[in-house]
Amino acid sequence: MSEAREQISSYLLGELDATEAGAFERRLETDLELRQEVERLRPLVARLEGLPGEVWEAAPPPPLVMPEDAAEPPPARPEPGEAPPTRRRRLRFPTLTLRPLPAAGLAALLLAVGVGGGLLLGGGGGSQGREVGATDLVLKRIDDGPAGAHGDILVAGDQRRARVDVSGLGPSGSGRFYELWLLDEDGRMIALGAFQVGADGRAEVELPIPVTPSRYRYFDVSLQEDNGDPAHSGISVLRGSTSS
Amino acid sequence: MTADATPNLEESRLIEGLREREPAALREAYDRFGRATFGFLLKTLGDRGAAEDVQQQVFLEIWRRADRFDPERGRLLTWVMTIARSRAIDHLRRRVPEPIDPEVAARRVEPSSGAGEIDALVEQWRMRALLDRLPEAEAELLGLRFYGGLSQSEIAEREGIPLGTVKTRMVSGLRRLRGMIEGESER
Repeated sequence: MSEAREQISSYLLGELDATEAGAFERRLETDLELRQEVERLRPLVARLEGLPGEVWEAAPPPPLVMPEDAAEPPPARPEPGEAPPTRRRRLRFPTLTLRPLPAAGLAALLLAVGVGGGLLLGGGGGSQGREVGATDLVLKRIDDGPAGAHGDILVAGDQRRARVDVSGLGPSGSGRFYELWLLDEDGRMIALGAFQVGADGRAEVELPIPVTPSRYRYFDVSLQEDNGDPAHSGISVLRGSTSS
Repeated sequence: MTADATPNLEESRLIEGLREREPAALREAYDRFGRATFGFLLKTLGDRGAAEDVQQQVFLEIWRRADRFDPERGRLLTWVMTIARSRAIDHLRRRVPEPIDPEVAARRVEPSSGAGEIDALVEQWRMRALLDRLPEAEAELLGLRFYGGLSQSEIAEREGIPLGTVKTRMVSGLRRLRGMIEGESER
């Protein structure tokens, strides 16, 4: 970029002193291309200078509520050994009597279970102090998960509860939450519980496991809308094998 | 690559997805325009609850009417902001208290005043949507200058980058934004 072109922004922003501005304007008189460039950008600078602060610091919008008829088509049956597709609807499990509760209520209840029951697997997130026979499993980012998202699940020796530790996820905020699932390749899936992720992108919760996890192939974490629909949103952010 | 070539390609794919009624396309449209429409609605309606309700109406309408969108008649952002404007006016008309003088009510939304103010807001928030499409480094630079009020030298010092780089990015960001605006208005 020539010296004059490097000065375009300084000139438009009023950052040249009188001598420099005079020299630049003399250049404008002879350099048609430079003059056209300046005239093209000048109104934009004025518009940007007139933008109110609320436009610059605009808050993020509320979560999108997907229209009822935006349900995605049922997935093709996966080939043996192939990971199940993430965009599919959840099968209803009549044994999950909490289903009629609003999703946020379900999240609160399950969190209460985690808190009330204490961190049975031992706090701290490390392997120290965990009970004998517990299995540590890795959750990796998938599909819609943000870069850097990861987590792990510590399944108790009796396979009846698990501590989920995730990080690098987007804050769930109001109107959304995360949900842990067990998935199998034949389309079976069961919701294990819902939780919130704070501004730091982390969450650590303990959830009961009502079934034998090894009968399913994957643990899956989805991002759900608080719209009362108990189905899997199809937005998977983390997934990992149920066996180490 | 011209400044607005990439957005046009992205937009074509987005329009196609919306026409094919792909939920992912609606999510993408929301990611792309949701902040601008919500900011506009919040400012216009002055009520967060109402803005949230109308925001959902806007994107429901986008979902339902995408097959009627004609790219030959305008850009997607213009269409989206037009829908937001219409739904905002609908909401303002509905919430006018019954005892009010009809002429007073009309002035809030008719071209002589109310709609003119709304149009100015539409333009401001359209700019927000365009800023959201700039590369992050350029958008941040413009924000520091035009919102933060920092000079290019102050930006260079604060960000720890050479002044020449700040100037180059500033011009690049302005050119790219200008290209987007021209792309929006050329049809």
